[in-house]
Amino acid sequence: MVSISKGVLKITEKTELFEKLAKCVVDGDEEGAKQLAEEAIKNGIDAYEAIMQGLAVGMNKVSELYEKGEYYVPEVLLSASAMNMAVEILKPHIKIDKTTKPIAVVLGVVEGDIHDIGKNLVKIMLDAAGYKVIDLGKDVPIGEFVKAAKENGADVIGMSALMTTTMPGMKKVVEQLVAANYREKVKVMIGGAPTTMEYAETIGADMWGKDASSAVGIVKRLTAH
Amino acid sequence: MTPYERLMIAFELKKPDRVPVTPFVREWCVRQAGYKFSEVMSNTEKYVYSQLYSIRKYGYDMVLDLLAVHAESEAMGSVLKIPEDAPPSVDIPAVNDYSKDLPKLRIPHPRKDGRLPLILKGTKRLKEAVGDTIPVMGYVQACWRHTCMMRGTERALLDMKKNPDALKELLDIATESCIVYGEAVVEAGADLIWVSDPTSSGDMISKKAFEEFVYPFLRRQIKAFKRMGTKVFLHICGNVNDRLESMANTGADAISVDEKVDLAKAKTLIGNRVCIMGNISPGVTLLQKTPQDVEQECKVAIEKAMEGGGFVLAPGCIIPAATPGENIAAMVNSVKKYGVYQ
Repeated sequence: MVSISKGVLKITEKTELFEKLAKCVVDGDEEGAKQLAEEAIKNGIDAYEAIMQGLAVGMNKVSELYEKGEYYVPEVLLSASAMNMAVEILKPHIKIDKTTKPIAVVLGVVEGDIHDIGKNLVKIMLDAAGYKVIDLGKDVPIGEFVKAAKENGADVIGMSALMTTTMPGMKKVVEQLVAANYREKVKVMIGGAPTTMEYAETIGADMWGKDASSAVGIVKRLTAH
Repeated sequence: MTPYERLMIAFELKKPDRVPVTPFVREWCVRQAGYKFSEVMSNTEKYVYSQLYSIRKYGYDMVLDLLAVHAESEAMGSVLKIPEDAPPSVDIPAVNDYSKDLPKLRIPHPRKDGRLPLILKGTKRLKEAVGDTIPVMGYVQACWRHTCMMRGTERALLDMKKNPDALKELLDIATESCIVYGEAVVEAGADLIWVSDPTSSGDMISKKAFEEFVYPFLRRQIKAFKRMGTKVFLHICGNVNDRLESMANTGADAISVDEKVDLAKAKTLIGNRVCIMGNISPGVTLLQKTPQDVEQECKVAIEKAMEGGGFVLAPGCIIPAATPGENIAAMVNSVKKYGVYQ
């Protein structure tokens, strides 16, 4: 634990605090993450920096561990919980920059499907990476995706289905985008256990994500100009 | 040889006349018979009719009761959402605050509580209709799935880290409830019980978590079913390559896997002690491809796992309602073409 008086953090101390924040996320240490977030505010550290260089770095590591098969869903959920607790403390202190419009992603689990853990993990990873996430939740009526994408000027729609019986809903969303003449305006990514790259291609989606850890990379690629 | 004999022989690791084929068809049959799913949730006769209609038309080897509608969890206080034409899901889990809600939980009475009597009536009616010739599959949730359906899956997964003791207490109650309901399912006439657990694969939890939170309870549940004299097959969707042996150790007669497991590998690893079932892709191949593609995938599966007996051709999971009938027919034909034992 760093304990220094307000506003006099040296660069090395700041770096150290960010590293500790990251470690708390990796370890799923909720109490530690909260204390460090408060410490950061007390010491006049930029809240956005603390999120991006501390918490997000930790979550990125979690994502890597998950991809490597060292972490599983319970571990990721615990890390996300630690991250969110620190974000709650830091968020009110973020200085908002109104000049740049963040890349927006509409997320949801398609109609009839309530399995939202994967989608929630994607949300966590995208949040941590600084994207604006419009989370439609689970069991989302097919028409809601197009509506939300238009209303929010979204760059990407991300859909997931965990059941073979609800997968066809993703195809319907793509069809609605085409019918609404909106397909060119937004990229579509899909995921969920029964889906494959092949399935993504057959329904006309742009990308398929193997698991939640691939989401950030996919959004980055889909929105690169 | 009747479908009943065929499946039982395969479950005993021997060679029937040909490889049995058991498409997991529930909403598919409901649609074939022209009903909406919400209708069969409250009308046993319609559900039974949909099963009988479809098996007579397509000639596969097993009928299924109204499975996986979380009836046990509903009977213990979880609130279901029932869409017009899709299977239900848990909307409000029963257990929110462990200290308040655990003491309130009661093991449901299979002949009195919730939707359980209705489902059991269907099982009984199915058995009366098919007699000794076709096996009736009765479904009981795996105890870990039941737990997730009472607690909410995400919370249950977090509980592994934050409330392991309370979670185990809930698992204990869930296991007991699954055993009590299973007994009634057997009594109603089921020849075999399907225990399925989509939440305990390597896509969700570590092997360590599986061994600590799932295996001991699941084994207790399956052993209890075995003592009732029924056959049991255990299905876990997803990547279970690292836990196939534990699955076999539960005492189940058969292990059912999806496309993430190679049948040849499963056969080598555990095929000497359990029957292997699998693994035609329901979402991609059966739903979207041609009968020729289905036949090809079935041929490969049969060639990988039929040798010596103890193999059942099955899909990797439940078959979507919109699956073309020709593809189910192609699956059934493939065992007659490639799965005959000499």
